[in-house]
Amino acid sequence: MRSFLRQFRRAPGRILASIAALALAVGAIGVLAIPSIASSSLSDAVERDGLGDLVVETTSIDPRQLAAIERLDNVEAADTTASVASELDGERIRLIGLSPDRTMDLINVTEGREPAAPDEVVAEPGLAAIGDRVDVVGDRFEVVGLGSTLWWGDDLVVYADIDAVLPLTGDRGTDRLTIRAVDDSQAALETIADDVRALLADGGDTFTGFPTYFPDGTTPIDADIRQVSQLIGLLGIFAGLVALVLLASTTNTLITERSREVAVMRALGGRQRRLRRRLRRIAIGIAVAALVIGLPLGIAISNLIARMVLHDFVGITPGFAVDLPVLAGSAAAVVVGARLVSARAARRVTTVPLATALRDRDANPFGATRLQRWSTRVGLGGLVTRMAGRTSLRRPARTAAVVAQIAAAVGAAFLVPTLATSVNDFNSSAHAVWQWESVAIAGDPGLPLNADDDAVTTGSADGSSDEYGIWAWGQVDDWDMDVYGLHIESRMIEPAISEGAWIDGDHDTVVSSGFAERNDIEVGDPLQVILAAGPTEFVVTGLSDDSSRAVYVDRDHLAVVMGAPGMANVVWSTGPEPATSSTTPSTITTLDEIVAEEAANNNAIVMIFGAIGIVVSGVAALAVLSSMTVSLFERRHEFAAMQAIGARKRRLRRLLFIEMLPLAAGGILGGLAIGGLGARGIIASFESSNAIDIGVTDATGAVPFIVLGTAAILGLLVTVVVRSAARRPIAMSLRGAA
Amino acid sequence: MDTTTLSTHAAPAAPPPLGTALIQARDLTRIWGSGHAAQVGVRGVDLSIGCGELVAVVGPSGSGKSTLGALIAGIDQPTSGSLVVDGARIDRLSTDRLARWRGESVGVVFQDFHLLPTLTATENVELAIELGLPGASRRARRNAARAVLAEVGLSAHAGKLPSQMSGGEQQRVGVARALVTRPRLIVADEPTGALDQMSGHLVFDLLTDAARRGTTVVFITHDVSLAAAADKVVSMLDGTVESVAARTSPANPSTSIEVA
Repeated sequence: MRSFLRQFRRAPGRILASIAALALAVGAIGVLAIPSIASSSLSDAVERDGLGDLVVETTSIDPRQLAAIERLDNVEAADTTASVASELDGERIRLIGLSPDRTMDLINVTEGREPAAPDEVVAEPGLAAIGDRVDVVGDRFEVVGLGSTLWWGDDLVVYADIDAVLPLTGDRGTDRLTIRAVDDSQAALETIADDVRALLADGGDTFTGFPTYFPDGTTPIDADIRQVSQLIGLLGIFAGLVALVLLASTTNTLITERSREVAVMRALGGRQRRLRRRLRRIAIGIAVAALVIGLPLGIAISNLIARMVLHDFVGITPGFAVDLPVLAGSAAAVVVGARLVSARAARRVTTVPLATALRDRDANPFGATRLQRWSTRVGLGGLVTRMAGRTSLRRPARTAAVVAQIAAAVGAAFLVPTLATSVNDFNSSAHAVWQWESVAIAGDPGLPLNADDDAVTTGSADGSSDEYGIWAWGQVDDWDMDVYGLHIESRMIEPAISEGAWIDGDHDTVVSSGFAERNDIEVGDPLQVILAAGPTEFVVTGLSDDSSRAVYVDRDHLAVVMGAPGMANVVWSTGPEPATSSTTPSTITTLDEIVAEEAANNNAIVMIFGAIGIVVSGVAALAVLSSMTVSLFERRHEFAAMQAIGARKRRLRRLLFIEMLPLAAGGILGGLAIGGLGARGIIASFESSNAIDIGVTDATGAVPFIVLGTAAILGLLVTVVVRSAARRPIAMSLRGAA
Repeated sequence: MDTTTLSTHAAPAAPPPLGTALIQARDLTRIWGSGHAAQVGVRGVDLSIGCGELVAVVGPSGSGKSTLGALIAGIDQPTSGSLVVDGARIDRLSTDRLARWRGESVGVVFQDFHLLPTLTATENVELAIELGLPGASRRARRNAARAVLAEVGLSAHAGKLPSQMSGGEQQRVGVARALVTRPRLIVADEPTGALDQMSGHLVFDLLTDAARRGTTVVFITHDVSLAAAADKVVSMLDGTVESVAARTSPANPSTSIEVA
């Protein structure tokens, strides 16, 4: 401790800068804690809100069927809910009817109270205020509380007693079943789903959506968190590497600076082992000081980003959490890293021949290597250029480290906008095939719209046309797919057929080309599409280049397969609003709104990576600043000697600019390559995990800003260093150097 | 020394006649810090040094010799007082003007040499020309540097780096660097302090030769025998000038002419 404090008093500015940069790097390692913090917060929410183990949309289930379901093997509890579409302040909302004696989907009321009468409701926070009245199909409900439950978290819904909602659903009745199982393993939940499906089939009922399983205590966005975790892990590892490079650079400098002092102690009889121990303590002191600042910073960063993730994906605001293994791991890694890098530097300093160490200021005389000696025979450029080049050769490891650090900062700065531009382009291209402008999506589950077979295209007064269709979920090879049921001569799509032809019969299907390529699906292949009602067979007639994961099939055939011949669930329109929407409770949205909403979701991911990228970029930039400051500080006696023989400030600035130029150029080029490759790697990972084509669009527009920004930061650094060197009396600098 | 091309570019003003005061210090004071922590370098120094004089500054450690040398060389600035060197009030010059003045008018020799480690002997000397006489062509610089290195007996070491030379050789490069611009003034801070006797004498001879050619040389030393060879000996104690003694004749090497 004493030796660390003594070192601190000698160079407080530099040590503080190193500690700050290292602390930020340690803080950035905190991103590794995001997945576990998010999972822990979600698990708390699952427990608090009583999320079921199996959730599935169904046709109406009566009390007798529900009692039978509760008697099935392994079923601990079962609940049904009913819902009906409505409107509140011009917004489409859903009224959810919940059983008052339920044990699942418990509402966490944050203000007011739970409904006590049939005409009372609880609204999602932000949707309404206590005392507001909600009109649903002519009935009026009063908002008596604000609250939420995980399944509908952040949706536009209000909750009421199921007995108040059921009369409003007409013949549809209940539409959703929730089950809690005794054994919540995946296999056991699938068995329950099969049993329920069979039990419902006996009464002529069916699933209208795919069951959602939450086996072994998993939560709704576990898969998303897993995917994001992998990428966050990469960035965390990157931040850790930057931290180690920074630690190595600082430690090496501080120890090398003491070469002469160590040499004197050696000359006086100091033992190598003891001297090395003293040197190691300096590095460990810096690491510990950085941890004191960095660990709380890491906790703050991880909680902040976890909050962003959970708020954007599931609409919950997590509590404060700490990931002890990540905390302990980063602390141990930094201390052990400090111990290892300092041991190497200490060994080097204590093994330099004593005479050399006593003679040379920093035990690093120029001319020791063949390359350095060769460089003195190259008379290219003026004296300043030669000095600049040779200075880079004097400490090749540090030069390489600075180039690597600039590359890391530039890489992160290029990666984020490249991800953003790629995602933007993807957002645009994913819907490029559609010709409709607006869509009315039925507010009720299943296929509630009666499609008019005789009017494939319904003309409207404004010249636009409408068309019934089906938009459902399906599965192909365990992949969730968009299943579009369209008329064979649909005007709502202009497919970008890259191979084969558009659908021309009941069993024909066109598949997204990116998905087909990743799953070895070719034109002419049979394709089994699993729908909520069961599997059905198609033949692939064409591939569509649409940056989606979709299958396009004949609407009428799909309606038959889904157990509702002649029915549909959407109305597409080439105008601003489908004409048929006025007769059906539905949500009307435009393609632009859908694109914007998807873009917002994708942008949320980009934002998260952006935040992490900024942290990584900041850490790398600080590492550059720290390394350069330390390097320039070491050479202050050189600058003083030059000033003593007549060098003016602009001469020193010129020297440093020339020195920086190749380092900056190398770093920028390397960084752009790293950023481009990194973006490709991340997007390839998304493409692979989603089986879609996303494509990479390099953010070339950002390059001038990155180059200028890098130049500006380095230029500022040079100016500050020269100004500070010029302010100090030359005699004092020279005396200090001696 | 082939500096024809150099001198046309440098065009320094003609030196004042010998004996005319080149350096005039009045109440020169340098203090670091303030209050109880104040550290006095020199205080109230009045001194006059003529053109072409070889002046030794002597005194015990901590007496202010090096501070006085640094002030005269313009590599430190006084806290108060005035300092005129070669007609310029150098205590009032800005950082950049002072740097320019140093490059053109002063040669500095350090005890620790302070050669630039990445430049060869020739390049170190060339650098002084580039900084002090910026109009000189590259060829002229190179020729002048080689000539002055030959003068100090280092022709064979012209391409060597400082790390490849002995202390004596490095100091001779340092002297060559100070001489090459033909300055009016050379300030040498214990130039022989880190050298053996033979190297020390070699370096001192180079400085006395420069003084004989009209350059004012102020050198700081602990070596009594070197001080005895000076035209004037400034003795310092506790930051003040204790005495200034001028050598009058070989029989009576020095006579005290002033006591501060």
